[in-house]
Amino acid sequence: MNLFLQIFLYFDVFIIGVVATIAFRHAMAHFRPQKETKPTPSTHHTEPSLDKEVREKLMLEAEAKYQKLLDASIEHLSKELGITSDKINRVVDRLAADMLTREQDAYSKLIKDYQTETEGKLDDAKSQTNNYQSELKAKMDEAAKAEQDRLIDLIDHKLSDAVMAFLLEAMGHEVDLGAQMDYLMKTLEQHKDEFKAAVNS
Amino acid sequence: MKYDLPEDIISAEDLKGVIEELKDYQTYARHGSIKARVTKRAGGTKPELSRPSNELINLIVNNNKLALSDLDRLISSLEKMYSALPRIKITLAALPGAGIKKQMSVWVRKNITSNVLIDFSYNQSLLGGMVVVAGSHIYDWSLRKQIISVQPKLNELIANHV
Repeated sequence: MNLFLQIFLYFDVFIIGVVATIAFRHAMAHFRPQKETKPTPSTHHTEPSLDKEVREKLMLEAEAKYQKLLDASIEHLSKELGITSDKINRVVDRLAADMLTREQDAYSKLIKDYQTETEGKLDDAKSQTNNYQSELKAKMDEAAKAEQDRLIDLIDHKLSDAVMAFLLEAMGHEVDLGAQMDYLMKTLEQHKDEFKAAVNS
Repeated sequence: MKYDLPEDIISAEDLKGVIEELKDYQTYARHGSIKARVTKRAGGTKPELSRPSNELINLIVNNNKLALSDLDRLISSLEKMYSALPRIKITLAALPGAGIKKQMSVWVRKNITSNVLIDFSYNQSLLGGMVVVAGSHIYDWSLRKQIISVQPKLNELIANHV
């Protein structure tokens, strides 16, 4: 298509050139008439002398014919130019449309790619956030449970410490050794062997 | 020479006291014998001896006569015993009376070893029972320890019921 357009354009330019040249020569002839050259003896042939009126009549006829020819050329040229410009416009429109479509497609593809990439990244971020949330929740649950266990253990120990302290305090007063003598002698009897080994070692 | 300690000599302090008494008696006896040789009169006031000291002296008296040399030997042996005899420390929950001390020392000398010095002390926080230290061994047979040993069970009990 481009080649045809080029050839057509060259042809049109050529026609314009020819027409312009003819027009220029006619204009030159009209505004700067050439001096008549004396015929040379070798090429001399006898031409009948014409009347002035006849000459003017011929001139007018020639001018009219020339004008007619010029008008026809101009009309033809105009038509051709119009056709050419229409074709050029159509081609340019088509080219523009193609280019626009291509660019639009490329742009749409790019946008789509970016969109897909962004969606992918968003999904990743979302899944990472969800994972992080789950991990954090699990850690927090674990920490809370550990703290709960620690506090329960602490309470149990403190409570038992309090009970022990109470018992020791309550039983620490008015110890009666006399009442404990049987227990003391029984204890000595019970541990006699290890006591003996310790003393004799 | 080794002597069996009288029952009243229980602790190292008691033995030390007896040794000091015997030394005073030794001094008296020595001065008295010198005076008797010089003035044919027994001189000075005879020091009062405790029962365990008397028991020990009776061991060395021969035909109602007490030889100074025997007394010297006795004191020397007692001093050696003071340094060499094994010592046991018994800590009770209250200050033990003489009867309790004697009962326990008799049992120890009968069942563990005949010659041993027993020191008594007290610590109210034991609540009952005793802590015995013999050489490098410590035996905690106190009531406090038994109560503390059941604390894990108490923890379990509280955990199950709270």
